[in-house]
Amino acid sequence: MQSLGSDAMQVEPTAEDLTGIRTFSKIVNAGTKLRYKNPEPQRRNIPFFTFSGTSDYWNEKVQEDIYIKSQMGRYRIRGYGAARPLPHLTDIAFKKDLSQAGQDPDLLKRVEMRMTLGDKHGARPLDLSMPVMIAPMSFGALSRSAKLSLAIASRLSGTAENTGEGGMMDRQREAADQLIFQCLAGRLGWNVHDMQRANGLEIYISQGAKPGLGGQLMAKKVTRELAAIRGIPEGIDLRSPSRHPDVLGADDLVIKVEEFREATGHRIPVSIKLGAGRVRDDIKIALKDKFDYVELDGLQGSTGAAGAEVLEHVGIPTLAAIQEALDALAEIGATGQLPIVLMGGIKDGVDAAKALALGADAVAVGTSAIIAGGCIACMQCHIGNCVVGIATQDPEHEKRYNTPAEAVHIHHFLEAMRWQIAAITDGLGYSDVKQLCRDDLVATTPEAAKITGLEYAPQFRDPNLQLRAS
Amino acid sequence: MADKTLAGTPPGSGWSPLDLRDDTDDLHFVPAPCQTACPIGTDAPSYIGLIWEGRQLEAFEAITATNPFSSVCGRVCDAPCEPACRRADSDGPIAIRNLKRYVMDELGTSIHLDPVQPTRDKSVGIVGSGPAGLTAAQDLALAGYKVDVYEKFDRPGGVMQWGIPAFRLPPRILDEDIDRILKRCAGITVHTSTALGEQVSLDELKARHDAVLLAIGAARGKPMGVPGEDHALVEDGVGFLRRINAGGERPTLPETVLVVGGGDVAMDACRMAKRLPGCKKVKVVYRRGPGEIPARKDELEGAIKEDIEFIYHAQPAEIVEKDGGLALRCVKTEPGEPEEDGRRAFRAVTGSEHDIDCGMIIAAVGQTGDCDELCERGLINTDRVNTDFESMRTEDPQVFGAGDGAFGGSTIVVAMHHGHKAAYYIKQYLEGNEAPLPYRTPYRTRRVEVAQDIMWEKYPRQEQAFHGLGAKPADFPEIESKYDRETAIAEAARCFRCDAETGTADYSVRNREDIFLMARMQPGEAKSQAAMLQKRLRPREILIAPEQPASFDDIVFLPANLSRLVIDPYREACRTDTELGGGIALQHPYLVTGFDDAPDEVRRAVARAVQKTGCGWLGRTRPEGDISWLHLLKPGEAPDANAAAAIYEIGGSFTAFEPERASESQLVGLSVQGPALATAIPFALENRLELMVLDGTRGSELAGPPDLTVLRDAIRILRGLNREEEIDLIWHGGVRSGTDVAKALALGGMAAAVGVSMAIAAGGTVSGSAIAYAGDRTFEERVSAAEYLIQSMAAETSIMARCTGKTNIHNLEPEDLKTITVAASEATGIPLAGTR
Repeated sequence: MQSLGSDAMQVEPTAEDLTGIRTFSKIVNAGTKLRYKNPEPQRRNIPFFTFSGTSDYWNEKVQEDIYIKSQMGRYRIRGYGAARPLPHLTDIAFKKDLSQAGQDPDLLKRVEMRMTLGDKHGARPLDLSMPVMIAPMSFGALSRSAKLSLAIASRLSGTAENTGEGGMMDRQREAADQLIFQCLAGRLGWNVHDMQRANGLEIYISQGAKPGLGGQLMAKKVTRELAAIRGIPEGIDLRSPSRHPDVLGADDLVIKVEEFREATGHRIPVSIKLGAGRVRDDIKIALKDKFDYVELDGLQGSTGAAGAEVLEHVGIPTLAAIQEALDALAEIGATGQLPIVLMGGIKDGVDAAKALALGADAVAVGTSAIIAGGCIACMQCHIGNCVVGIATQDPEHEKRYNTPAEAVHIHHFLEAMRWQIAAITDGLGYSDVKQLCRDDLVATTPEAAKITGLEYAPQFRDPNLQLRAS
Repeated sequence: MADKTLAGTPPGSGWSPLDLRDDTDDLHFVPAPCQTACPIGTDAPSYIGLIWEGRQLEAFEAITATNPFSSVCGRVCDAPCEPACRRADSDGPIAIRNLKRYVMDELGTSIHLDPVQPTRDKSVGIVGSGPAGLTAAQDLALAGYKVDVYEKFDRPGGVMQWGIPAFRLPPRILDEDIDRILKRCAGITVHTSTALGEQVSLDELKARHDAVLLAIGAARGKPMGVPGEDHALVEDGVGFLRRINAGGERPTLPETVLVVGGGDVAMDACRMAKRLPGCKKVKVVYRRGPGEIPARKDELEGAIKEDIEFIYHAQPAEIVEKDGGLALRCVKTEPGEPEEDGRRAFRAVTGSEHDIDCGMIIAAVGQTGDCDELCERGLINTDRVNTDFESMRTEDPQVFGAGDGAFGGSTIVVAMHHGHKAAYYIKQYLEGNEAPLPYRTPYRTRRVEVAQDIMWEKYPRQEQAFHGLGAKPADFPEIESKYDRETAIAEAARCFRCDAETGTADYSVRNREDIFLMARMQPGEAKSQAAMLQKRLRPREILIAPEQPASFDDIVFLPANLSRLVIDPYREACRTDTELGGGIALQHPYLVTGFDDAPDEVRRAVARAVQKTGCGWLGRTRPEGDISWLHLLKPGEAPDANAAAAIYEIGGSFTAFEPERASESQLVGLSVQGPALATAIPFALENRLELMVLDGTRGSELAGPPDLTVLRDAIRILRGLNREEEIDLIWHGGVRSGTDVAKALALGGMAAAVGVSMAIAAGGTVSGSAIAYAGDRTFEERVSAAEYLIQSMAAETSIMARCTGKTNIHNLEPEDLKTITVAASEATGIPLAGTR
């Protein structure tokens, strides 16, 4: 023993003391709650259009869900995000005729897209060549090779990558020019050394797919290596805690943010990752807690594994989230004071441009980036046998993933987004993406109109209208 | 196998191969890369999915829909689909060709569609009965024209007949395909041993027929162009194949045979030579390197497995006699700088002359079309019939061209594509259409469900058993056997189904395909980038139908985040215990209902589960076991003394009555539909009834989505009277999961009735407006399933509560909810997400 504590001394036990000691008993974790008891029958998902819209109430998917639950005794788990149709950015349209946009080979020279992010409180900001980032995705949910290709692609496209849950890998740090280090409630892999070599620190409160719940990683993916990085036992069905142990509210959080800044010499931007819920209140708190920017993730965001019911029914759609966030800032006279990076179902430069026009400062792409990298959207990420080697820790499967080739694919996808954002900006008559604004937009569904307050103009559903109007 | 007639027509009845209609407008279908790589648009994903399901007949239809030579292709198609397969980059492409063979071997001789008679006056003459000619013949015959096919050789089939060795393609396989075509197309007549320029002239054909198609193929070998090649021991590869294959000769060859060339003819020739008596060593001499040899990968591998030696970078310069045999004098070559198109020119290395000794040389350095008459008529340009690829026409307006003979040596499947295309333009011409729409390959789908195979991600590519030369090589036994059933299913399970809709609206198959394409577009290449932009700007189809009634799916929960304290999920527990009416204690707020008329065994099993899990029962008859039973009865009937509560069913119209209770401790309630609420609620309050079942079913849970306005209106009325806490509301209607219950609780309910969901769990199947039970489950299985459903629901209800930051499900409140459709916000009174 090195130290006895404040007011103690060591003495010899008496005979009386020793008679009380007869047997030793060791209490350990029984492990019954560390793993799900019943495995779920592996099934490829029923296509969405058969269980949404005007399909039967007791459709095939409902029946399958009930049947499987009655065989398993627990809720279903899967990857990806909300599957049913939701109001989205695709329900708003640009007013102007863009049918000739994007044909000029010198387009990119004419449109300013570069931006900095995170210098609100004096830190060295992220320098992004365009307002598009890679969304946080964990090493654990994804394979090391997939994470690496994202890091490489982010460098090739002049943007930033995010570690997601589970710590920073050396190779990832080398490959990415700008890497945001994410701190989750479980503090898995979080340490001050990696903080020092990050370009951004991010406190994860929740994500769009499963807000109010922590991360989830099925046993097959908790390999020895991964367990070592995260500091947990191998082979458990990992449930990450959903709440930071030392942050129980807004006032704790402001101290946490200060701590992070102090630990890194105020050099590094500190952001917050929020799943969309009570966005109005959450944004006001985030502003008060002095974050440099917010990463806001709507219901359409994906994950590697979560309860199917949570994916579908907890959280609000991305479109509603951004509008609520902007309304909140406007309410307190703080418009423009808290940059918002929007994510959750951003699929292309068109979605991105609409988000920017609504008022987001940037967007982030997660699922789209991995689809660009070969994902076939079979939604079986939680099983860990990903056929293309992305959402797996199995070396046999991972070796199918060609990291350099997919890095180029993801990079090309980002570049296609760049082209589309530039083309729309230019087509609307602007020379800088920051000029995109709400006046450029209309809503094409009643829901989108009510949510955004944009003019309801269903005639913009007709693709030929814009041509005729010109 | 008895002759079978294939029931069912191709999708879209009345579609002809020539009218270009396809399924590319279907929003939930994207032609898979294998389908677009196939020159004839074969619906491979569908037939692969059908094979997995064991639906061979339908697989046969999908395979043969655009491919009259499916049996042949199942063995020897070039299979451009396989390099295009997206799994090729992962762990190996799907063996699409082998799967085709699996079906054709089983059904190739036994399926015959009803014969089609000619119905039109006009006729077409086709020169050549190879893949291009016969494909065009079939299309035109099915369109009603009379077709005469003129074949130079004594048997039809073209290159499939003479050019492919029997060890790769047994002759009976080709016969199978031709037989099927001719049986179906009564309008086709094949004239064998009838050569153009000998037995019949072009003018005669033009007089006899309204249009002529030249599909003469490329049956003459090109010379090597080196001195000494006219030696007797030097043979043209095409001629060699023909005399062995079609002629049936089995000559004894010298010990060492050289084959010059690297294409299909060279591969077939070298493997054929290896099998002939006397031949011990076969060497293939190719002027470029292993990276450039045009031979198909599987043929190259097959040749190597059969011990054939490949000599690369050797360009023949001269052939001389030597020691009773020959010596091929070669120079070494090396690659030069890449040219404009990226290919490297090869140049000879000076001073590198060397001899390769042998007993004979087979020259396989290319083929040309062969017809003196056409040459005389000026229709042949160097080695091909001069044909415009856009219109398939020659300079003679009545004469069309297709296949190897028109466009150079290629593959069977490309020739079939030409045949389809030429037939299309010929038909347009015959109908007098001077400006037809350009031909494009139609892409159709049979919308087969994705295979549910648990090993689909893990199965490696299954190879067919390879036999090599076999016991008696000169008999040319087949080199490979087809799959057995297990292997075929395993291979079929591997298919990604790039064509099929996925499970999520945002990442639908169309969106996913566009992302995939964007990832492969050149950055900054304006034309393609602009085109993709236009595609992405198109508005999406309306996914939330405006007339769609509000349902539980349109309600979402607001999670705890920054503004509410988040609950830790380690302890998944959440309090679900429920007290109804101050007198009924339940462990979970679920009342199982709807089993009064179910089979005895089902009812008892469900009751057992209800007892084990501490839930309640809502029904007309008493359930077995110690369960809190809410006795459902009509006003005027007497409540059962064993029931914990009496629930009088009012329905949609209320008349006052005397609500009885069987004892002091028995609770009383009403079951009410929307229209009766306004009168029933005050009555209930006045009579101090404890419970109210809100019946949101429209008669039956199976009639459709529940009417959520009933809950909204009940709460409004109670709130208006300021007596919300005085009566416990039980929601009945469309509860499919614990999540639905959580929403009902948040909206103001205290418990929910679980009807159809429990029936499904207990083994019932929904058929129309009723539930049917089969005898396929044991009693214990039903109990377990019912229990498990309740457990799952309890976990789901709890999780919803915990996500919102509650540890007791009864603390869920309307403030925890938002809606995502306008209809739902009106039906529930909950604001739309993103608004106040």
